[in-house]
Amino acid sequence: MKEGWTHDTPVPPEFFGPLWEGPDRPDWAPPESEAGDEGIELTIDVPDDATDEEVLAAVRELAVAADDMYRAYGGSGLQVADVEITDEVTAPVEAPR
Amino acid sequence: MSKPRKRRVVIRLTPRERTDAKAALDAFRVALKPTGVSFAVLSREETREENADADRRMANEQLETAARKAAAVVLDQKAAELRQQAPACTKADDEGKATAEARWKLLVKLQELAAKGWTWTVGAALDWALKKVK
Repeated sequence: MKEGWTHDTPVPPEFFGPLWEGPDRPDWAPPESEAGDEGIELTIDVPDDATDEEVLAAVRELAVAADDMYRAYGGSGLQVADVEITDEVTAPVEAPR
Repeated sequence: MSKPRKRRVVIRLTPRERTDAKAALDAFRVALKPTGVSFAVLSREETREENADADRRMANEQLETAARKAAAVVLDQKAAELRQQAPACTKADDEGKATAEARWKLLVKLQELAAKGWTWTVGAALDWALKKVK
């Protein structure tokens, strides 16, 4: 076989493509997912004294750990859709009396 | 009255294969369920806040670019390396060892961040039309 499979090779359902295409798709079939509609979002709130290097390291490590887990569960891997960094002002430390 | 500032870093990851879209969420839900880590469903509006300070905004945007590139490079390299490896690497995980190890690795990383006082959320963003992102 050109894929190099053996009898023990697990084949994901995705290999066979969509079950229904075009006019053959029955009305009761669930809607297909669009790429980018669903994904994983990891949000971390970083204290202001954290350095840029620490932030970059955390982003890299979390992305790899998430990718590892996704692949371990049979996925084909993750890619970066976006990274967004904004300021967040938290509740006051000392409340005025 | 002093207000400590924090930066919120949101990393959005999508499946490499279009057909994996639902699998991405299901894998994470299944993996995190026994760990006690909650899996939140988030909307883009909840995560976007305006930066009042132009300098801070510029610094954050520069860091965003660097972080996006850093994560993309490491994931692309990993994907390329795995593609070159033998199909044996995708052999069935009969004993659940690979999934357990991968889950453990992510949890340890999250615990390390928590120990430093960083807070985190793992979730799914269902409203991800990228045209809305900047």
